[in-house]
Amino acid sequence: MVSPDNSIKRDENDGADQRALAIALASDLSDRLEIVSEEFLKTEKTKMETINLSHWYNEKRVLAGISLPIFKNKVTAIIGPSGCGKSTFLRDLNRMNDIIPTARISGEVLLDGQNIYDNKIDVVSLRKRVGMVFQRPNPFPMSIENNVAYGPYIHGAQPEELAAIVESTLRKAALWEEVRDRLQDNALSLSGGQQQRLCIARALSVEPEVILFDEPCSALDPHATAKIEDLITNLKKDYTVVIVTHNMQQAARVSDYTTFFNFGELIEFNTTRKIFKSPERKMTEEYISGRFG
Amino acid sequence: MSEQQQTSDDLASDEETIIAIGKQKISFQHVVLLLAASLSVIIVVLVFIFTVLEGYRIIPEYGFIDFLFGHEWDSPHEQYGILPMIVGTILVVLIAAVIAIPVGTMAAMYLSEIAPEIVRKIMKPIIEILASIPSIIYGFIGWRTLVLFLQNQLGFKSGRTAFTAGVVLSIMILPTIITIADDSLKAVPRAYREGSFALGATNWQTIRKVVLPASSSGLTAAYILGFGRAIGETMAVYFLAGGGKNLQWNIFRGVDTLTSLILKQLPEASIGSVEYHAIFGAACVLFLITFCVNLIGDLLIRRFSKKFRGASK
Repeated sequence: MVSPDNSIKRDENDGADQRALAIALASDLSDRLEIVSEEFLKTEKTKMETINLSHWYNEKRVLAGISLPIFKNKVTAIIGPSGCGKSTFLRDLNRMNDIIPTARISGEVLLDGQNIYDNKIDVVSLRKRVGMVFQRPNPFPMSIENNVAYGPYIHGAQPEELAAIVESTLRKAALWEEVRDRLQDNALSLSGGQQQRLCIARALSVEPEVILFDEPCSALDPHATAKIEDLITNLKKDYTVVIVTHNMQQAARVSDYTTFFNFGELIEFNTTRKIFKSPERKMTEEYISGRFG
Repeated sequence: MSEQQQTSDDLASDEETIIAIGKQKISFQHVVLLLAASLSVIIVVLVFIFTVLEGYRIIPEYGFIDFLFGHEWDSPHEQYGILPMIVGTILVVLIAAVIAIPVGTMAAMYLSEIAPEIVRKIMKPIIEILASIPSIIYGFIGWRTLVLFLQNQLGFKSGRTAFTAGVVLSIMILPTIITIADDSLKAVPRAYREGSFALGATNWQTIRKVVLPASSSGLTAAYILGFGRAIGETMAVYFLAGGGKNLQWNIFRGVDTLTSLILKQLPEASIGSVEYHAIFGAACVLFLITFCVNLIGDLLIRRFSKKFRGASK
């Protein structure tokens, strides 16, 4: 069966190949090109991509020429020691750094092939498509229901639709059964893990395409962490996920692809299995085996 | 078991320390410093006792209901109802609130959420200067501008009205409202704003739907402390509200407030007379109102800061 869809897919893949070439040249890792293209690049669709992305705060450069593909319906983990720029990178993907006056970037960030830093891009609709979950659970100090309804409401959902959206979204975030009888309670009365799942529900409520997780479990206990990890694994069926994490076991458990950052540079990118079994760079190996970071 | 023992040992040693401190010899310097620190507390208590002792006598002499709800204050005819002054106070404060609350809230929203750092740094101290202008100057400027405008341009027989006093009072309480409202907006954790931005909310939606509701108790405290200042204000009101000791609700006529009543009548009343006690009774009512208003404001501020200690943990 030949459908117009197929040809579009092929075009996207061609573009991805070219960009993979650019990545390889830019980071001068010519030996990696083969691995990248052969093993998975042809089978994956690129949802987002950064091309030679650099980031400064005032004169201090915190990201240096990052080129990274983010594959559709996969979980990409970003690991690296504190201060390596991984959170900054994540926040560049939905322009959250726009609110920091001293921040400045060069390079491109593509979402479905379109540069999100283009002048004609509307930040509001970008952030609706690329949602974010933060390090510390940050539910709004309002009812559980209103936390979830807030996003759809500001994007123009009708009041009569909201109840259905709230229920379906809370179900997706595996929180519905726990809160169905107390939707009017203040969200701050939930436990930390529940609050974080509420924040995930809130991010899902506006039907994003990509969800960015910035160390989502760093403030949670192991039990709550396990629930969030299960949730992330389930989410990739419908969403593209990027997760920044300090916890290497977590990256190994939830992600399909892993990239290692250090000193604001992308040191290595590969399938998670490859990164954790036989990384190509010595620095990656040392970090993963816990010799620094 | 052993752990428990250790804890109780710790407690015992703590207790010993406390007792040791308690037994410290009390020196002369200690007493002097304690007196200095207690001075304001003692004065508050004395003022309270003095006012109540002079004021409560109006109840047996004139009657509680007649005093509080009497429609007229007329010294020659020995009428001492303070309801007109309570209404006058309410009118003036309401007018001030109707102007100062929206203007002050919007100014605080601008300073806290929109203004670039440099603008904020310049504007905030200037706004705070407003608070340090002596109230007689406000009274004078209000007379020179508003009172004469009402009389000369709009044909009022007298420009000294509840409206005039309310407008000038609103400017006087703006710095209180702006400063506290700005502080409470600034106290809303950045995480709430980021959470809202990350959903694709605009700055305005974030301010209106997340930041303002989150700081509602702090904003209420700002308004209430503003009221407190407005209720207690005397000079500008004395200068601008005209006067009227009969009950009426027209904001474009002169009124007396509790403060202006005291200021006007006290020099005329002979000490120990019924009028003298009525004036002190009015002072007690004023005292009670401002005390309650400030107490509520402080409680709200405390609840507000506690709320965010909880949220940012």
